[in-house]
Amino acid sequence: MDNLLWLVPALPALGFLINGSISILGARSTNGPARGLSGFLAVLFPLLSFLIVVQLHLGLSASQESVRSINEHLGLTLAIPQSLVQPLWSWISVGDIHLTFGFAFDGLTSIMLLFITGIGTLIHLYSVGYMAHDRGFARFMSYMNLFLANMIVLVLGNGPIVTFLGWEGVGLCSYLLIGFWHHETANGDAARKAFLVNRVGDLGFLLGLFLLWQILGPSTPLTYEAISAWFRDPANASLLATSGIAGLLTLSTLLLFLGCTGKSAQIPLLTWLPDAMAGPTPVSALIHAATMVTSGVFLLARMSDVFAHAPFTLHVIAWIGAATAVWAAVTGFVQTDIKKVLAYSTVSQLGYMFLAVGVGAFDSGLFHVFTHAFFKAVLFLGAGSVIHALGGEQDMRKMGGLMKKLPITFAAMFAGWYAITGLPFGAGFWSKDLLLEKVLLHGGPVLYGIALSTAALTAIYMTRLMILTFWSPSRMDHDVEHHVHEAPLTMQIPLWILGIGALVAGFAWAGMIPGMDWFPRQLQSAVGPAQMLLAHGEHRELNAVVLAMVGVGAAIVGISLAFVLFRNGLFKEASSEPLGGFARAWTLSFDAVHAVVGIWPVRILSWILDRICQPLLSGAVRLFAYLVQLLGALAQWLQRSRLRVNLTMSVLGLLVVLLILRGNL
Amino acid sequence: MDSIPMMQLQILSAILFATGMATVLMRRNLFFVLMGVELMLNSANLSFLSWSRTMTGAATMSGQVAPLFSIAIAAAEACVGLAMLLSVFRSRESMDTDAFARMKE
Repeated sequence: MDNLLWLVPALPALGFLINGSISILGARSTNGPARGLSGFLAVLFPLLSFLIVVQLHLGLSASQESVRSINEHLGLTLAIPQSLVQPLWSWISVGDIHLTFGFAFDGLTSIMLLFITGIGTLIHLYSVGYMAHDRGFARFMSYMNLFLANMIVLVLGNGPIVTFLGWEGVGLCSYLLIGFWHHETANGDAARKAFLVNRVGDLGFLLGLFLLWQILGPSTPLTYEAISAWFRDPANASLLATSGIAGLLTLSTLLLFLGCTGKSAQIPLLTWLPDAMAGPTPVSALIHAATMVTSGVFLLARMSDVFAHAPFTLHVIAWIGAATAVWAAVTGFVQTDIKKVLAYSTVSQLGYMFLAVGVGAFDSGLFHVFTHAFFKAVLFLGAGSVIHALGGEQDMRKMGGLMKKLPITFAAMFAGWYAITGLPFGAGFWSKDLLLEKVLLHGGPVLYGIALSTAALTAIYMTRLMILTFWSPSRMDHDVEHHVHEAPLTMQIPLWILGIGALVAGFAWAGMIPGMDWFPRQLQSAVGPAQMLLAHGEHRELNAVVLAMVGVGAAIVGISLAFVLFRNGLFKEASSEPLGGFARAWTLSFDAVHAVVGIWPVRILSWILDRICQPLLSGAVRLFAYLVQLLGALAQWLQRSRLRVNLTMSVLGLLVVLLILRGNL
Repeated sequence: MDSIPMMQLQILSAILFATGMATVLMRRNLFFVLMGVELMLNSANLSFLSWSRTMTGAATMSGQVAPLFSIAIAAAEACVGLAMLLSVFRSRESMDTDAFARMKE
């Protein structure tokens, strides 16, 4: 069964190759490459991957169950299998260093893969409808497949180096897809920005990883299994207690976290995600909302044993998460572009996840990743459907009154809205309230207050989006309004499925209902020991029902506030005023910080290199070249065919040889 | 002959060799270059002969035979050399050694 593991990333990769070939071969035909075949293949391969993941997940659970029942009946203590490991080949083998390229599949991986391939398949299906009229259809589909393959490698890798391979791969695909409509300069700029900002984070990832390796010693195989085992080993506790190693570990984890802020768009590397909305909407849904941006949270959870030993880093993570959540929620409040609102909302929700991880609640952070994938995907796909219906219009000031015109899209968006605001029994209700509870328990009242007010802000900006788009009188241009149409069936099916998912996904861990704990059981082996360590073995409980009521209260306050502000008259002003003043300054504040901290120093450095170091270096090189030329001219003079010179040289040479032989020289 | 010491013959041979080599290296006229080569060969012959006198019995012969070969080879060399000299002189109208520098043309 475990030999199926390599097929999970290989199938989408095959899809990429086939679709890439179709794209290249069909590029010169008048109608562009064949759409039917490439669309079918592009959906088929992710679907097969999804089915294999389901099969693997069921197989792993079944084998765990059978070992558990054997233990119970026979009174044995056999080890329960926690993961499937498939080493594929030896990758690097130099001296003490041995790296194996392989895959490992455990509870954490299976959850990530289930929603990556599942939601991924649905978004591929949606793309078939959304991109149907695009000339680059096959190219788009091949990029999407490549992205999925890389994302699977990222999650499935047996160690951080394999993960890094996928990590870079998804960065590349993100770049390719943001700049997919490359005829407009702005899209290319956005793509480059995303790539470059991510590079800063990737540098942090690599440096942090090397530092970590330094601590572990080069002979430790760099797999997650070995790293976790090293940190769980009590024999290493005294080594970790020495101040030098502890400092090194803090530095290493901070650098790794820098990598996570790049991929997951947290302060300080968050400016690329809103710009990434330049890509086609399915890309925003798949990459920049549901899957790739959560890889930072995934990495933290995967290395939870490492981070559990770096309390300072966890504090930093918690506060950065909280700050990002508030900042992005406020920014979402002042946007006019429907996709930008959702982009900032994603940044804000990711802030929540990091806040949870920072207070040591890895499992509830991941649970929010899981539910967020559903409701943010449906919100993005719904927004895509609205944009599709309006012929490319993204400005919410020119929408309105779409509830009756686009009932299916509205129903799906409503489900997403219901989930993200945290109204009772939606997906966000379970995950966000659990998260708030953990924050209050481990992080203290200040962080809880920030998180709670962000929940209210979330409700405000999401309700504003719904009012401006669906619940207010129409402000559309006449000919746009005339052409409004519901999306084709390939786009509706994913909307339905994800909409239902947004409502019920939370029941995977309905904390208040006994027995609904499928989700945390999966994660127990991956993050359980780290959480036990951080909670110092204590097991405290807060009154979940009261906290849930507080959370729902915050959401209701936010929703009512939004209705008061935008429904009853005020929205006209808000909707006609251009994005300027405070809104502009606030939105671009981190771009300004980047300019001062990152861009200008690099420019100054590059000026110095260009104007000072470059001439010096090239001067030195030219001097050397000139010397060689001079020597060459001398040798050339000796080599000219003049009998007397040549003979003299050979006689002198002979003389030298003779003198050497006699020992005089 | 017996009265001339071996060392003096060797010195004479060295002087002849040096003269020949100086001729080869310094003169531009190819004719003189060939003459210098002959002189160097003959100085070597003289050296052989004087060394052979220090030997006894049949071993004396080897020192006297080597110059015979040398003279034969020198004769052949002079033939070929002078023939080439003539042909170069015909095409170049010059006896300068540097005329050989552009043989390819």
